[in-house]
Amino acid sequence: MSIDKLVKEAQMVSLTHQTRRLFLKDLTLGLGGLALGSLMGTACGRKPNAINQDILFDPMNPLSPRIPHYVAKAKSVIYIHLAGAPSQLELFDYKPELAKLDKKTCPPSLLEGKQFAFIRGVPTMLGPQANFKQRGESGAWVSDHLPHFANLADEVSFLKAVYTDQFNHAPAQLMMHTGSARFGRPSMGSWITYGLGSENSDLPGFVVLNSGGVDPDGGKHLWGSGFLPSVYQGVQCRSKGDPVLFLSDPKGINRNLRKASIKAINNINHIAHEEFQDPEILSRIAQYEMAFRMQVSVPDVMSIDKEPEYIHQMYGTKLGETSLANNLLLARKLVEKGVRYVQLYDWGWDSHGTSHNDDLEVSFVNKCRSMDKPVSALLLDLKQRGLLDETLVVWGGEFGRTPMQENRNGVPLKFAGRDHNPDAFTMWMAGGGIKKGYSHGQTDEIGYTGVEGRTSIFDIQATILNQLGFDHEQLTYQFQGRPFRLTDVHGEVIKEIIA
Amino acid sequence: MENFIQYIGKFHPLLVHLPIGILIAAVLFDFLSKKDKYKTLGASVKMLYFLGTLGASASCLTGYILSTSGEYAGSSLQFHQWFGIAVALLGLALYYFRFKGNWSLYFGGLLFILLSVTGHLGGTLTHGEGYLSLKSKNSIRPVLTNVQEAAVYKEVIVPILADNCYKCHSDKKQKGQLRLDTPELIAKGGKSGVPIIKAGNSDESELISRLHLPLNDDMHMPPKKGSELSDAQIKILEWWINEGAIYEGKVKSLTQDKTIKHLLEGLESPQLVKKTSSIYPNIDPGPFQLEAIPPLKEIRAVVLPLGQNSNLLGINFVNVEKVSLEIMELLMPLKEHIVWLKLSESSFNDSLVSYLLEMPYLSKLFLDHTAITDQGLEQLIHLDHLYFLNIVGTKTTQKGIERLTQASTLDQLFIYQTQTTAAEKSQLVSVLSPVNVDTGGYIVPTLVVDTTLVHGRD
Repeated sequence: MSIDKLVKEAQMVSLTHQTRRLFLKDLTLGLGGLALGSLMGTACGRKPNAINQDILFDPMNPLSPRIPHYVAKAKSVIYIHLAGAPSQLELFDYKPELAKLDKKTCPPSLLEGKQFAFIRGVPTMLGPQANFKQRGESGAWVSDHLPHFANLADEVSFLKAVYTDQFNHAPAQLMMHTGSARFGRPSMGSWITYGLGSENSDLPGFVVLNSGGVDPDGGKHLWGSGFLPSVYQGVQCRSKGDPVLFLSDPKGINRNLRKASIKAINNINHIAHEEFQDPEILSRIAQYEMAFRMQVSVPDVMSIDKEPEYIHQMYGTKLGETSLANNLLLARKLVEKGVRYVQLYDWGWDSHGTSHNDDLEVSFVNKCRSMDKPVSALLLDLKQRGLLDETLVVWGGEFGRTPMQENRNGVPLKFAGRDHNPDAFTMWMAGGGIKKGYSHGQTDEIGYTGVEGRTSIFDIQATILNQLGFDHEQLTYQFQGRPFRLTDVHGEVIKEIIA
Repeated sequence: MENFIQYIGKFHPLLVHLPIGILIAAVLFDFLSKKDKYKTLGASVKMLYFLGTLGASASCLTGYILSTSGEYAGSSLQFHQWFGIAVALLGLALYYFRFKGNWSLYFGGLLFILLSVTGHLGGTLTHGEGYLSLKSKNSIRPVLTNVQEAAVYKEVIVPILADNCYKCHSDKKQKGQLRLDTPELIAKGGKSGVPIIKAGNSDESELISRLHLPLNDDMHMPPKKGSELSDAQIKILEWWINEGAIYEGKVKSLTQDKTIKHLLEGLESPQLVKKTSSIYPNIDPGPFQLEAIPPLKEIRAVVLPLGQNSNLLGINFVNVEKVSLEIMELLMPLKEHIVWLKLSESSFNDSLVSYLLEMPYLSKLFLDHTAITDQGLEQLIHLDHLYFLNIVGTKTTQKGIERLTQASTLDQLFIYQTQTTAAEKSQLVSVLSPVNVDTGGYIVPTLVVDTTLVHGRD
């Protein structure tokens, strides 16, 4: 009985939405208003905002593939985030002037008005802790820490003067991946799956893989969907054990039984939907069906056991480990299967120099060794499979490191290390319609601040969206009464690095 | 504010139709009212002259604003301006003074002539000289029989500029005050005064750099999406500039590398230049049949236009393992629209290749890890727009791949893990040049440092 009442009420409510009076009123001004709106919209130099109609949330198929604004150069992204922020001064930003200043007291002009995470008082300068050479035809400087990647300098575009406004890990990582240092915004991968959907209907569109033993400081918000529908959040997968937790059937339940139970549940849901017409119910049905398909497809694509031996040698992968190498190989497999956005976090790049566990001489060198070979292998493997052109590979940390040696609490540390520096760091991008063998931007003589071609985090986000076929100003979501976008009110596409 | 004023100028082409219509009506009514039968029309003449004059004045004002944008120039603009003003003044006179007897008709006739001349001049400014001519302007350009003997500027460069630039940068229009239709005017450059060509250095020549800007950049040329120059055309322009941007002399007098030679040969039959396009062809096949898409969705194929406002389709069979005759048949209603097709890791085989040949604009094709062999591969040379071909992990051999030398538009080829030896692969790279052949098989050697750790001295 109560259901009957609810249905009647729902019908009444829907009737108030469309009365004859309302209909006639709409006829007088509504159509004219619509026409005027579209006319004025184009007249004022803005492109018609077609995307918002196009990517309205379809509850029955929230991840169905969608059309980008314009023809995209890249179809997928592999984002390699070195959590903790690797030192640009030991990898790509060669500063011979800084070597001359090694161990000299830092002049006060460099400290005025600056905030540091740990440096207190007056620190000393620290020269580059690596040997540099120019590589390839482009002559890009790459240090000896990366012997394999050095051979690929002609494949990538370096961004030498990236800056952020956050000097602590968690906010800086959030800034990088959600466009805001505070919690609550959707991550870049969520925006992209919201805009493009997923080509493979058996796999999630946005996968997150962590290595380095510790999750990034920004936590799960780094791949959260914020105010976007939750289907767009990143799916964290593991390279060891069950790839997705709670996905496999419990003991004693076989696949047929599982299939039958999901069918029964969905039948009930369909009946409920017929009664209430609530789109959320359709969404739930679709999710059940997708999870059921994923039970088969995910373990298959998430296993690297079947890869041939020479691929394992190329990446330096070891079965059964949770390592950056294994994750990079998985990333290639996922992209091959049509996953849109693969986000990798590798923890352990925070080289403060408090001990050999976080210094530039030992720990940093070892981290480089674990990263160099598999990252180089990924680029070459994508290349030989004809996938590099449509896969955008992004490499970087959340900020840079200071040219001064860290002096925690005013006491110089015994080991070589650097504090956080939000003013300048190096990132690189490859594939996905990015120029090869190019370098954009420059820092000052000691690599402290960008002096030319500075690029903000928003510029990087705008560029990634651009390569996927989006105008970052048009990819919006209506929330709390206004349209939101990843780059908020900032961001310009870095045209210089686009091929 | 300045922008707003410029914006008002854009209304000129709209407003001009008001005085034309109203003033013609005024003259006509005035003439007719002399007959008894239409005497009543006389009462409206004065009002029509008033409204017509108002419209003419508004047109003069907006027209003046539009002329300051600098996109129009030349003597016809001057004439158009003064004739327009004359129309407004004569209209005002006809409204203000009541001419007696037939005088109003004589002045009315003069006004009609002035209107026609002004309108014609305006049409010439907007649509170019001879816009009313019956003859179609696009006369077929003579095909070069021997490109090496052709005059490099007149017969190679001019046609490229004419096809892509003259619409806005010639005697018709002078956007940015730039004209490209004579050597002197090219040297003069545009509004900024910076030379657009730096002989010997195409990288620093604005004529070229504007072409390379991203499509969404406001400075990109040509400004209209979908009208981009083909890669071949850009490469030929770059080559001409790098070789000194000469205006006299034959093609053979300039040095040419293999790629350029190949591209120039393409000029001997003009379609080829447009054909060696890019990752998607520069065409619009019109709207596709929407009914054809649901059956493809049913089998879980991904069918999407390349971008919004694009009628070209990309189709991905990532969710489909078995590709049969029936499935290929589903693609046929869309064959004119399919430009990207991904059949990777499916059961696609030689017997289905004939369906691909039905797709005239197919340019990016993934056949990696399928059952295609040399037999099927050989047929792909009949695809007129094939630009990207991936046959990684197939049973194709050197013999079949070699046949792709005849695929004149092919630019990127991936042959990793085909049935070819390393020696055969490198041979293929040179045989197929200028196609970019990726042979794969890259090795990242395992160095000592890859498997060892540094330890602290403590």
